[in-house]
Amino acid sequence: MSSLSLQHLDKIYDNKVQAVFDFNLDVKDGEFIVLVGPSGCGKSTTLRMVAGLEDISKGKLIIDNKDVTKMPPKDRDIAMVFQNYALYGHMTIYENMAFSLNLRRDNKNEIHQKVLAAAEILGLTDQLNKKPNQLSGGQRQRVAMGRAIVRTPKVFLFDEPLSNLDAKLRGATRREILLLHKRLNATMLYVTHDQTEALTLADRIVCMSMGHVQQIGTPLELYDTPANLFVAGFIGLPPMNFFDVEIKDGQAICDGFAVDLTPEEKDRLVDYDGKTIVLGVRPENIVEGGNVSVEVFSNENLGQTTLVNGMVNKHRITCKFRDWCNYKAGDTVQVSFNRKHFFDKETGNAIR
Amino acid sequence: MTNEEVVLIKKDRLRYSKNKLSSNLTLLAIILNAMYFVSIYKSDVGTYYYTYMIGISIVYNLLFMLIAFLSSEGVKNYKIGYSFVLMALGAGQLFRITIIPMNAKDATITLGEESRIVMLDKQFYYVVGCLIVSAALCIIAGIVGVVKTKTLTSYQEELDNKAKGAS
Repeated sequence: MSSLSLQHLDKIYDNKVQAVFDFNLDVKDGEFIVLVGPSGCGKSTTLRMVAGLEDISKGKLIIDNKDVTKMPPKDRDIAMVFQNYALYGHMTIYENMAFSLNLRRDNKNEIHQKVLAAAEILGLTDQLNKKPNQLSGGQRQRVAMGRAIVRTPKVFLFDEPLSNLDAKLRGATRREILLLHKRLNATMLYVTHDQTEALTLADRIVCMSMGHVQQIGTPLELYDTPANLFVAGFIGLPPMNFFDVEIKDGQAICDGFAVDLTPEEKDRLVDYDGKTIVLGVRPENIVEGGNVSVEVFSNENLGQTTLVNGMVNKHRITCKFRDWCNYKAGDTVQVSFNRKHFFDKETGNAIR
Repeated sequence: MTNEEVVLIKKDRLRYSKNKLSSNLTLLAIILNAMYFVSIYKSDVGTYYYTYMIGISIVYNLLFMLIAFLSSEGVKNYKIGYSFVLMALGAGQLFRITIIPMNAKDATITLGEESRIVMLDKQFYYVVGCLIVSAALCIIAGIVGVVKTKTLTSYQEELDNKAKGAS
């Protein structure tokens, strides 16, 4: 397996639309990187540039200390798994998995051993004589992964591989990908718009928006210390609640409520006294009991937790309580915030 | 990889690959058969061939192509019966040399004032060649089919016995 370095990558299309701006990332050997962001943020374009399916307008792509920026895809020794599987319908699973090796005219016996080994890893041994249309979506995706595995490439690329699967299968296949990564210890670059996939799979996450990298860090870093409003709002489900607050006399004051700041928070916000900033509170950091009154308009029991949606004065708020709650529309519940995030209102950056 | 391992892998490969060799040889045999009958049917020798024999020949050619094609699919999937069918078709091709080509080789026909030999040596060797190669291809395809199918069957039995022993 290999290291990967993306240096100042830009992607500008012929019509002058820029899809990726100054993308920098160093991927260590065996690391699992997830590119996450909303549709159109440039994550797939970045992946396709790494694969060689899109030209790199500016910047350098280094794989294993070798500049491959201008190298054609077939010479990059990269395997890509697509959302739509891209399997050949007229070939059996065995033939699909062996296809790229047959093209390379590898020894047939070695191809056989590699295909069987990959099938064993992916639990496809009994399916090898079937055609893709005889398999379920999850199995097809495993075949697509198997086709990548047999090549023993330097880097694995995944372009939203689970998007076509139903929720249950997505969870199962996600766990399989994680096990696969542990087993192969391969360098993997994975694109998704699903933050659950990003948080559960990644060693590090690259969060993107509008072609720009917003933050690169471990899942915990992105969740716990988001760099800006975008990351704070994108990572976490349900998303973070935001309120415009004025910092005054050791309090964050919003129309409708005021919350006391801890000494550490006061120190952090010393330059913002008298100014308006954005207060962010994750739904799971809201607890029952306190001085903030929420007028409930919906109560969603999820089994282990309850989502309570309501209004604090004119501001919408979502609370995630650990218990089973039975609030009714119109009820008032008192809450407090046990963890707060602060963002500069003008730049959107986190105040640390 | 030791020789034993290579042999074992080759056997194991049969489980996941089709017998394309036999299948392709059979398709080639069909092409050669077509070359044979095209050569016969385009002969400009008056009414020499206008007998019930040519009707039988046409029907046989159609049957040959149909059965050979079905057999090519059958042997591809290791069905041993089709291998024997192919060998029989091969023998039939050899036998056909003695029917139209051998008779036409020495026959003469009068066209207008002119007396002509029905099948010149060049055409004779050509059609006989087509039939011999077509027959050889069918027989080889059949033999390959039998060998591969038997190898696969015995290997499968071996695996089944191992699995039974393990359980």
